[in-house]
Amino acid sequence: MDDFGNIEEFKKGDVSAFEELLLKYKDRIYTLCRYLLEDHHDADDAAQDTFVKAFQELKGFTPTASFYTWLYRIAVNTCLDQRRKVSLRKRLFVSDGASFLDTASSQSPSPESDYETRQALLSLQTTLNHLSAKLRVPLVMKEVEELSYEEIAAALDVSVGTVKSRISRAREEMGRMMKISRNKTG
Amino acid sequence: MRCFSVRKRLSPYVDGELPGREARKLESHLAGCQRCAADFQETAGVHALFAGARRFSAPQGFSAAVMEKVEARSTNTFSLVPLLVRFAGAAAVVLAIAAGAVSGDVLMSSLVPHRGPEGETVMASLSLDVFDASPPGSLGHGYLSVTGDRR
Repeated sequence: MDDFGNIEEFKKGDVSAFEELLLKYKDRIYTLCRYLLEDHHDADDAAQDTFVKAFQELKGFTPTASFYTWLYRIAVNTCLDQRRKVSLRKRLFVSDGASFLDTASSQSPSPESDYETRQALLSLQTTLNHLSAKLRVPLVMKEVEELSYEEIAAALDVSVGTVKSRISRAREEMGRMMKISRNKTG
Repeated sequence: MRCFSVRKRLSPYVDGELPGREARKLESHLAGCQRCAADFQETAGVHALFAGARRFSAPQGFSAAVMEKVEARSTNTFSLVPLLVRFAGAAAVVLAIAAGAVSGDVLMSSLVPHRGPEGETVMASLSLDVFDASPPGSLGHGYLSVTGDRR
């Protein structure tokens, strides 16, 4: 059954139709939350809250956009709220970049490439952490979630031109930060 | 295509979101412009960094946790029981005070039907001042007689 079919069943009172949507999108939403919030506990909370909110709002959902762009919008807003809540903690205890890495290396073929992978991911998270939410959100949606500009624009309720420009600026800033980082270490 | 236009299009080009004709113009510019080619390398480098970025699986028990939260919220939304339990104690205290006040008023009205000297006597008899802490014949009275401290 497609998303709209599940939504219709849910509106008739079939909770299992919602559980199907949950199973289908939980990994994507959790991944988005992991990239928007460094801490995996915060990401877990935000992803769960996203689905709880979706459950509460789903009866009023009108299929003007796809279900998952609607879900992404809820997830992004939930993550931004969560970031505000934990911002003080993050200021006091700056993330060391380990959260993307804690389970990332087990599939690497050798210690050397494992080290390189970890360094690359560390560099990625460090630079991502320094981007403003305005630039970070569309970039992650593009690069990690692989959404089109149109889908990102629908999820964030902005124009395609704005998405294009923010992603471009995000890459420029990340490139600039990585260059500075390379100059420091090299 | 000029350098300014090329730089604006590098990011959509990397994303494969540039129409074919524009993409070909951009490629031909990059082939002859070192500075734009360097900018392209930087943009492509950031893009490539994400290629190795992992996609996560939701933690074990994630769906169950969501459904538990959903159920808890539904229960909270539709049940008045917790609200009633919360205010039941306070309501009982208020009722007891009100019943006491009413019955006290009824009792006083029956004892003091009208004001005047008789009514004052009855009022005085209800006062605790008429009680003696050491009435004659009590142990306290005997002790106070011996010590001479009779209050």
